[in-house]
Amino acid sequence: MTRQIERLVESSYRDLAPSDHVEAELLRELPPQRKRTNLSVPIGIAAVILIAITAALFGKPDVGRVAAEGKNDLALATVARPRTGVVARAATDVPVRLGYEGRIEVMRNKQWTTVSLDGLGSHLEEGPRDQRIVISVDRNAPWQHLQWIMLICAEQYLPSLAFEVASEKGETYLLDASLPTDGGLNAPVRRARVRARVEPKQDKNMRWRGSSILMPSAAAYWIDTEMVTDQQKLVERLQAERRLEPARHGEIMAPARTPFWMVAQGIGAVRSAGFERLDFYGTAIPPKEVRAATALPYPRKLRKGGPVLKFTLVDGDPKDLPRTVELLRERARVSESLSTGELIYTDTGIEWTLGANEDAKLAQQLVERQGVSLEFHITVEKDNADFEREWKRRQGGKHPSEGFQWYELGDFAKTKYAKSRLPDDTNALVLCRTDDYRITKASLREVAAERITHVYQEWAVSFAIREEHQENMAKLTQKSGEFLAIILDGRVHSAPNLRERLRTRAQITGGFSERDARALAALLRSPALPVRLKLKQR
Amino acid sequence: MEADRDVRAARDGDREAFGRLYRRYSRAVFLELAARVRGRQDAEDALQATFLSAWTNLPRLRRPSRFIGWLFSIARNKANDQTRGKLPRMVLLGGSEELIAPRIDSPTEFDELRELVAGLRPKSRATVLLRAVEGWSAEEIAHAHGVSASTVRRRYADAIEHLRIGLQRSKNDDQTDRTSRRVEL
Repeated sequence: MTRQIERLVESSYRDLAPSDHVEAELLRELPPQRKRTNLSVPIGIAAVILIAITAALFGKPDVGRVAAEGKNDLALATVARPRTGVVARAATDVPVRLGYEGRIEVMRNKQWTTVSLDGLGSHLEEGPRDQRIVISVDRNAPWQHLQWIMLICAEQYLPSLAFEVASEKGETYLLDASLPTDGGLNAPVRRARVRARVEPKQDKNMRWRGSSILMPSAAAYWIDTEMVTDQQKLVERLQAERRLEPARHGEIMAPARTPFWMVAQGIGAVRSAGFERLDFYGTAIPPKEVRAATALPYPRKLRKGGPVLKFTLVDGDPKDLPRTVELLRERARVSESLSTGELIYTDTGIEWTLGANEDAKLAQQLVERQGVSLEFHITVEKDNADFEREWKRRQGGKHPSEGFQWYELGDFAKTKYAKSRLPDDTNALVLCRTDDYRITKASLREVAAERITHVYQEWAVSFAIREEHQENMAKLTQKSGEFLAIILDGRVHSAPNLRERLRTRAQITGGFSERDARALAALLRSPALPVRLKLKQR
Repeated sequence: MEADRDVRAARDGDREAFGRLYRRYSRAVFLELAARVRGRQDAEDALQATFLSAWTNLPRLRRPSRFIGWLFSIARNKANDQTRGKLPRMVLLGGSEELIAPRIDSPTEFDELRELVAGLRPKSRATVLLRAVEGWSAEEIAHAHGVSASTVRRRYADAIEHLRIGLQRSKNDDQTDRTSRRVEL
């Protein structure tokens, strides 16, 4: 078997080798070697002393103060803020009604079954129609209760559940529970590892007090697709199958392509089997599919103090803030990796409490960049007569002629790679023809961040060109050998050589990290923000 | 040892000997880098930087027998440089559909495997690639990674086991998919 896998790896990566030009370039340009020196030890000591002195003089920056202040759960801190009450609304396709003693009853298999939310500090009301219920959660309810309610609702097949937080002023904002609403609970968790960490309940009546459940091949447990919600039965069964071993923590692995609802159901089962803590960690690889699972609350991290980003208004009217928040939610949604967590506006800016595991820097990019403009233009090379003329005009302090424009090189393009392909004695300025066929952000559709290779973790932004603009794109890129400048926010980001016409689809690649690709895709897909915001405090 | 001789010669400024060293180790270093950086372009840049730095600093290498370990530690540093705070570059590909990377909708066995390999930690990933693709022995890898051979063997066995379980599992799933997974709701 090992041999077989080795062979598979070998044949799968056989073509992974450096290109020949690397060797040629390297050996052609070998610089002189350094002389051997014995100074390195004294220099090292001097450096250490210098660093020590600097550290002593300036001290450490005051990091983590915010985290320390939020001694309680983040969500709780906000939820329990005065003037607000929490209301959870669960919408579902199955009939739901309010049952005896304020319990939810759900129609399953033509029978009403009861869902208990006992002891979770909540009470229920019937919604406007029989397919909606409203779960109000006590203002002081602990964060875990919200989580449990979410899990129970997922377990009981109430898919889209959002916590609406209503303030007394009548504003509402969403605490996104982030169960998948697009693919629904049937969205497969493809090749995903969802791990849950469980800890035993500190309850004297429990039989396994002080130990916990270990399900190393819990895969079988999931594949069975059998629900064992009765804790007694669960223990018996696991013991019979020798899957219950004493250990501090346990792990549950969901096998490939498990539908999300099964994951949620399994989690629910473990929870109702009497475990006190249930944490998600070790998030899975294809983020798109697993977002649903990972975006479930993560109390362990949150307790440590997840990031709260505070942005202040730099430019613009505070009246535009509600609209900004709406646009940001949209951006976060299309970034496909941020739940809107808790995004609210204040008098002077906005506050964004991210869910656990979420990328604060991505969130920062999405908020701080008002928008991006994207244009494509053909560059004018320096051996061209137009270039000579425009360069002279520029030196004479005149504006470029009609149909031409100078662009600065953006940071991306300043790397050796792109610069070697651009006229270089112009002080990092690129001349472009602007009177040609216009292709902008509005010409694109289906903009998406994609992971393109597995071995390198490389990301790309791909897009399709709208039908009515395809002809223009083809005309713009008709001359092979020309350079097509990609201009983002008025700066040239790169100018690849055209080898063939572009018409329907294209992809921007080149060492994007996941964050950069997602940010660019989200910015290209959403309109500009009406105000400018800057990160004040994290 | 031929390699040691080349290292000595290159240390004294012999460019051809250095070329031989490049040909001998570039693929291995490339695999190490590929397991750590983000793209082919980055891997090649880092490869170039690694060998460039190796060349300029060779006179400082006292023991030629330590060359591989030294080279790989340079490579790891360069890989870190590449991934840390670096701005991405952009290249526009496209036009015809073939140039667009295929979506991952219909996984072949290769895709499954690559996905699993991508999920390994960099150290394990590099170990698997060096051993399975470049055919290095555990001792050679141990030399390059600066750990003991038994660590390498363990790492390798764990990684292969991980791949085996992963592949097995996806196969099982295919079967369960076919026989329909019926669940009472």
